[in-house]
Amino acid sequence: MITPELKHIKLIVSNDDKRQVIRKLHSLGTVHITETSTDELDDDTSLQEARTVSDLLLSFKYLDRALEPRSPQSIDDLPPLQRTIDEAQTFLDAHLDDVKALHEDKQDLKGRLDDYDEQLSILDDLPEAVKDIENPILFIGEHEERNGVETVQSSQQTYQLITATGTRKARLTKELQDNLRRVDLSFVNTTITEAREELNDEKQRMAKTITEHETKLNDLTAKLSPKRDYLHTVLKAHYDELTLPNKFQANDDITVIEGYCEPNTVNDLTDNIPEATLYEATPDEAPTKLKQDGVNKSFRTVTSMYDTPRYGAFDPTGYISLFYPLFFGFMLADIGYGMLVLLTALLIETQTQTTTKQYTHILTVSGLSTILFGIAFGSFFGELIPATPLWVQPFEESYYLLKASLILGLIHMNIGWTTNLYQHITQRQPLFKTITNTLPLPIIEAGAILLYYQAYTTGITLLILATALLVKRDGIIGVLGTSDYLGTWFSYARLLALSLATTGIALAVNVIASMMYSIPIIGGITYTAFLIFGHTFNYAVNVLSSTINAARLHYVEFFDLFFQGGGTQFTPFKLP
Amino acid sequence: MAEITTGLIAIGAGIAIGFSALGSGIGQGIASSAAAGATAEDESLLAKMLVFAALPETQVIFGFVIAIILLFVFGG
Repeated sequence: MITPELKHIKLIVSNDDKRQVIRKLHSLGTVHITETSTDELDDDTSLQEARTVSDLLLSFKYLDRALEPRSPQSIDDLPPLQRTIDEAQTFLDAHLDDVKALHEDKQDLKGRLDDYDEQLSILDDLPEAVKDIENPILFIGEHEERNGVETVQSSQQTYQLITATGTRKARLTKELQDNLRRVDLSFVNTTITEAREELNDEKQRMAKTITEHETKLNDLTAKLSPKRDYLHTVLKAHYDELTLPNKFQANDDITVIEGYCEPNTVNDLTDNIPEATLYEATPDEAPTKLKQDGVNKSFRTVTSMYDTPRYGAFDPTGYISLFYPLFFGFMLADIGYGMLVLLTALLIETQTQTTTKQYTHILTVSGLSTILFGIAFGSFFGELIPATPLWVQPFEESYYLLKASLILGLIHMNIGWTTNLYQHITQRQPLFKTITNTLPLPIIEAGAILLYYQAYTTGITLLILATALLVKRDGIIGVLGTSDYLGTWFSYARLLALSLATTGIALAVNVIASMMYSIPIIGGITYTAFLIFGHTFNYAVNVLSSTINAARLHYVEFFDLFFQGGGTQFTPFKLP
Repeated sequence: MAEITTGLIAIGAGIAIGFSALGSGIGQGIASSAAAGATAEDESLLAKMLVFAALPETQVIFGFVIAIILLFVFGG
């Protein structure tokens, strides 16, 4: 649907009332404030206070990393700025140093633990023959035989061990150093065996200390989080208020605040902010308010990853919520893989991170669609579990499925140009622009249908008309427009191609696994292991492929027909 | 004669898929390395870059369409 209308407003307030008006706008939370002008605001007290708050916020961000995050509390009224600053400073003075010491020590220990693991892996690779020699000097590689140099072998490498003593030892070491890479054993002061024991002991001690630090940090999280979250939220709100004047145009007496709001909230503004004079301006580069309810909420991610529709343009999220799972299911089309997609969605849902939870709905719908197409194509981990196709067997009726893919593509593309026509009409675009931007594709389709039914004269005339419109729109490059549409249409053949790839690899995995079953004694184990490995591989590769290609069919083929991006999302100025 | 025709159709389908896959593979390699570089600079570009990396696949899809038409329309 077309993105909702917004009112462009300007509020003129006296500088004495500025703070109060900002506070009221903040609590109303209905206006998206934009830059009013490029005029620099004097470096007045509000900006100095903003710097103080900004410094405090930095320290709180550090605490957020060091302590486990908790969801912020909501606040109705902001406490006064100075009280907040004092409170935050006292809180930081009391706790920041303790947290910092524990956090830095933990990070340092983890780094050293990694170093020890690396040193242990060097020692583990060394040959048994050198493990009881004190401070051995070893080089990796082959070398001609020498007195005082012994060749020793591990399972991985060939080494040269210096066995000479005194000046000969130094001479041989220098000679080998010029030709071979010396094993770095600078951390070994005794024998390899003793060094390993020491490293393992040290590792255990460090792991214990890290656990102790983590326990202390967890205790601090439980103790400090409510206060920290409260102060962080309040500081952020003050910071937003203090830095907002950067966007205003001001002189010595008055300030102009500019922004956008929904038409039904304009009266609230005039009622609640009597100090300001409000007037409506012409919408110009207005932000876009996107619907965040129902299916839109989950599939919004797919649109947002590409771009935000510009103000007054069509928001394609509704279409995506229908076609994305449809394309995904067509391409993966397997009952077993669909169940695995649902399982993945369930696993993500059980995680606590809200950022990843937005994908669970997309995965669930896509998983169900995969199962439905799997039933239609009779595929259950290939043919591992026999299933009768309810619609077609992809390998036997590929040409039929190719036609089905292209028909689906045609429907998708026709929705695209129809939407573009609707968008042009609602935007009251000039008639000729509307015709050149939206009608070439349906005219080409009509021409192609007439040619198919041997009405050559009319068919060719329509194709020439469509090309003329494209040339008018795009210049001489427009002559390629017809083949461009044809290419876009054929691109939907990937639905079949990827579907066959998923089924084909699954069948190949099953065939190879069944061959392994005939191996004596270990046949059963190799059969099971290969089935798990093969289907996991196929699942991973084709889920990735289906995800990308379902998005691509929208971003490249579909959006090209109507999408008007480059918008800024409507973000009202309000408390977090 | 019919066997020769079937053989030639199969070879044609193989060439259609083989060369278009080769071209797509080279194109995808170039696009993906550039996309990986861009994503390393700015993580928010990940989605667009994944699509860029998948763009050259279209060529192999065209080859695939030709192969299917050869096998099922001309090959009976």
